[in-house]
Amino acid sequence: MMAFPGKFKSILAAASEGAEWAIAELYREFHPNVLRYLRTQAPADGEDLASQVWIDVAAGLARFSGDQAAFRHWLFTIARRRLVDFRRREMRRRAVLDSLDRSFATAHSLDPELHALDASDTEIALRRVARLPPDQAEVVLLRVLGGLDVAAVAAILDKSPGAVRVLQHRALKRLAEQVETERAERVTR
Amino acid sequence: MSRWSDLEDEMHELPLDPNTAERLIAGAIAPEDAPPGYANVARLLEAVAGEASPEELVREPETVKIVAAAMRSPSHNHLASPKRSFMPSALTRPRMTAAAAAAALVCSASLAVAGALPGAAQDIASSMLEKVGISVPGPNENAGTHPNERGNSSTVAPSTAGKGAEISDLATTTDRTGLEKGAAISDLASGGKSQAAEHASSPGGAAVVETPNSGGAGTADMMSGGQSSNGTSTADTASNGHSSAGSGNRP
Repeated sequence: MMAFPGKFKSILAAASEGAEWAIAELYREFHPNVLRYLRTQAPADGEDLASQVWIDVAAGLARFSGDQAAFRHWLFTIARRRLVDFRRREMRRRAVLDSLDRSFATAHSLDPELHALDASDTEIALRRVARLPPDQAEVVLLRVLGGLDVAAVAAILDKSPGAVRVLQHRALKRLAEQVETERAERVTR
Repeated sequence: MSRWSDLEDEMHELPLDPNTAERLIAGAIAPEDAPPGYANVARLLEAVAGEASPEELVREPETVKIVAAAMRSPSHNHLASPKRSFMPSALTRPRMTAAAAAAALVCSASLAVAGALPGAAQDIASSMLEKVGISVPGPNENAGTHPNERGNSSTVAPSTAGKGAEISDLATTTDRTGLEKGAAISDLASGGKSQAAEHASSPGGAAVVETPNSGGAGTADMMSGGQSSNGTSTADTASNGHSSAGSGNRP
C-alpha cells in the first residue's frame, strides 16, 4: 500500500495549499477503500459518510504531519468516528420509528445477496465480510482496506491489541467456514 | 453420519495459527501458499482491497473542488487552528470584550429607536443608524427640553447669554436692597414664575417656610433638663473663653 513512493510529502504539501491535482491524487488513492469500509458498515449511507470524511480531511489537513501510513491511520480514524456518529443518530432515529413496520424495506436494503448477479468480485467479497459478526467485520475491513496494523486498529476501535488479534483470527476461520459451506452447497445441488 | 455433519467436522479442521492469521490478513500470503481451506479466504481478502471501480470515484470532481475551496478559503485558518483550549484567558477575554461592546451597541440602538436618548445623543444615534438603514426618531421628536444640537459653548443661543447679562446688570445697578433686591433678581431669572416677590412684600417680611417638626428644640431642652440652650456658654466657660462652639461664639 505505497501508492506514492517518495512523493507523498510533496503531494500532501500541495494538497494543504489547495492544489486540486494533489487532492485528486489523495482521493483516488484512499477514497475507494474508505467508501468500502463505510458502505459495508452502513450500506445505505456509506457514500454520504465518505463525503463527510473528506470534509473533515479539509478541516484538518493543514495541521496533519506524517507519512503515508500515518495519513491512512488518520483517515480511517476519521471514518470510524463518522461511522460511530452515524450509528448513534441511527439508534435515535430507530427509537422514533420503532412503531412503524419497516421490515419490508429493511429486509431488501440489507440483503447481502441482493444484486449478487451483477456484482464484482469486490462486491461479493465485501458482502461476505459484512456477514461476519460486526466487531470481526470491522477488524477485517480496517486491517485490509486501511492497511493498518494490529496496534493502529486497536487504537481506532479502543480495544487491546490482543482483543484485535482474537477477533481477526475468529473472522478468518469463519470466512473459511463460509466459503467451504458454500462450496459444499454447490456440490450437493 | 450424514454428509452435512462430515462437512461440519471438516470445517472444525481448518487450523490457523496466530502467526499465519496475521500474515494472511496482512496480505503476505498468496492464495496458492495459503494453508488448506484458506486459499479462498486469501482470494477474498485480495478482492476486498481490489482495484477501484468507476462508480466508487463518481463523486471525485465535486469532492475535490469542495476540499480545494475549503483549503484555500481565508476561514480555513480557523478550521485548521489547533484544538480548542478550555482555558478561557487567551480566547475568552477578547470575546467577552466584543460581547460587551455588542451589548452596549444593541442597548444604545434600542434606546435610539425608542427615541429615549437625550437630544444631542439622539441626534448622533439617529445619524449613525441612518447610515445602516435604520430609521429612528430625531432629536426634536422626543427630546423635550434637552439641547437639540451638538455643539460647544460658542454656539450657545444668544438669548441665554443676554439673560445672564441682564441679571448681572440688575444685581449690580439696582437701588433696591435686601428682600426686594433678591425678589427682583429671582423674578427676572425665573421669567416671572418666582413667588419671592410676593413673600418679600408679606407682612412678616420673610418667606413662610413650614417646618415638619417644631418640637426639636423643646425636646432637646426637656431631655437635657433645660441645659441644651446653655451648650455654647457652658463650652465657653469650660474652655476659659477659648471655645469656638456654637453660633454665638466670639469671632
